[in-house]
Amino acid sequence: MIGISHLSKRYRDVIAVDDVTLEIPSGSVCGLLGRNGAGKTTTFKCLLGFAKPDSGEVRFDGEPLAPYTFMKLGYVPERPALYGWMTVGQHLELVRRTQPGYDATFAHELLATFRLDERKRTRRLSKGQQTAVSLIIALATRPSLLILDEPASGLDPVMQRVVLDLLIDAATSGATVLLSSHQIGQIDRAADRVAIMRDGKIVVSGNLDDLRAAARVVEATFAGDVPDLGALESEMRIERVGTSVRAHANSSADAVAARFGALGAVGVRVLDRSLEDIFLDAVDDGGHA
Amino acid sequence: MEYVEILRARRVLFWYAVAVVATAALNLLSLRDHVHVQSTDMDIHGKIPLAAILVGSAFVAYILASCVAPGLSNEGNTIAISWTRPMARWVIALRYVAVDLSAIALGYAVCVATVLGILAFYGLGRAIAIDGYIFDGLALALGTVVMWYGLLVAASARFPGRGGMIAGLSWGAVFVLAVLGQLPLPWLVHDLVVALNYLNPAEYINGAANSHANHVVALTGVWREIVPWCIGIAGIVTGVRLWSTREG
Repeated sequence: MIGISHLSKRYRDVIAVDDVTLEIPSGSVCGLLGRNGAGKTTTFKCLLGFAKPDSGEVRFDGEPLAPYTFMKLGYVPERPALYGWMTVGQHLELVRRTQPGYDATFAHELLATFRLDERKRTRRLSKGQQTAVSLIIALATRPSLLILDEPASGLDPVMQRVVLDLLIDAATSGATVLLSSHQIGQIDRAADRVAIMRDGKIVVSGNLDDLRAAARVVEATFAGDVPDLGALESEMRIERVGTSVRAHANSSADAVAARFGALGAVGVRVLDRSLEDIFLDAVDDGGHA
Repeated sequence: MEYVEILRARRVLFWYAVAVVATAALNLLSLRDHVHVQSTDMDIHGKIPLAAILVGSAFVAYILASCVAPGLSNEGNTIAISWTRPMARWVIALRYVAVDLSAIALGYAVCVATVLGILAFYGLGRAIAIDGYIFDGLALALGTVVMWYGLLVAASARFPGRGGMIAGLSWGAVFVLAVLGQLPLPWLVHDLVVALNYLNPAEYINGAANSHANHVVALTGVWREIVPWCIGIAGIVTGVRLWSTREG
């Protein structure tokens, strides 16, 4: 389990992380979403002890971060941070020497999966291959805690799918996974929980299915011009396109559908919103989360 | 985690060995029939003091120190690996220091052995004088090497990836300070230069064997040997602390 409680980090006059509280239970994959500069990477840095938070605390399986935490924690950074002059095999040797839980068989399976040559120096690898080496370093110990910052960046779609499957497998085995990605489809596929950051704050968080169910849209089509919607306009976000109206009704979707029916709509549909809709709403300054 | 530094040191020692072998081979091939030992290389009794060889070889160890000291600073680019190992950062740093100092000591020993071997090849083995200053010479030489290394570690600890540049600039600083120390500068500037020269490892060696030399570092006897060790150890402790507590 990863617990973040009232975490804040300021760089001079910029608040990078602002009172972030988040709990990720064991066996869960949590996707951390946000625009560039939203504070995702700084949150990861605070989690891993790379940056000292100004306030708040972080707990892994109930305990604060300590050197031995890294026996069960794997991390993939946003940009592959490898020793360019070392070979892939030497990186694995480094992990073997420093991590008691290193699983050589699994590491070599991963090497084969990502089609990596152990003898190659990492500076000779493509960005995607370097990301793959970072993933192998993180996964080779079969950690129970995984923190991944853009884990599939640079990988081809086939390998992206492999990575997401590996993360889902890890969570199925009881691991706690926290990953960030700009590719909402990846989060949608792998995560069961999501947290969306904006300006250093968590603006939306929770179970993905619950969020989808709570964030519903009512689409109504009228025969002629859209009539005056009255109080609805001020209660929620309304989008008009020709003779159609989209109301971001969330939990009051059924009641709103009934109101559209009473206003003479010829067609009314209640739709679950996609994660992309939820994300765009959350990061939109004028949006309704 | 020291595995990375062992690989780095191995690489440095490999190229060092190539340089030593090439230098020795060139020396032996080109000077074999023309060698004439100058009187300045010997003391007044026509002997070559072993202590002088030990102290002179320190310059080679300075080069090695400059090559391995940036290792810790270079870890700034790979903290995603080095800071996610299950051990305290200061332990990682101290292991790096241990590897570096071992590599420097090995390189230094090889240098001394090579010089002695070349002298023996020229038939000058009997001219090497083993006097009572051997341990003083060794303490002074190694102390200044540890001092150079410690100062580099401290100076580069908070500049991730800039260790190599700092090590390179240190050579310029050492020579500029040494030259400025000999110039007739206004008293305030001169005092400042003299003070800075106390952090200049080469100045502790400069003229150490000659009591009449113009010493910028006005330390004599055992203090001249102890102070570099103290500065070096303080530099290492400072560097390890700065590196372990910085933000990534």
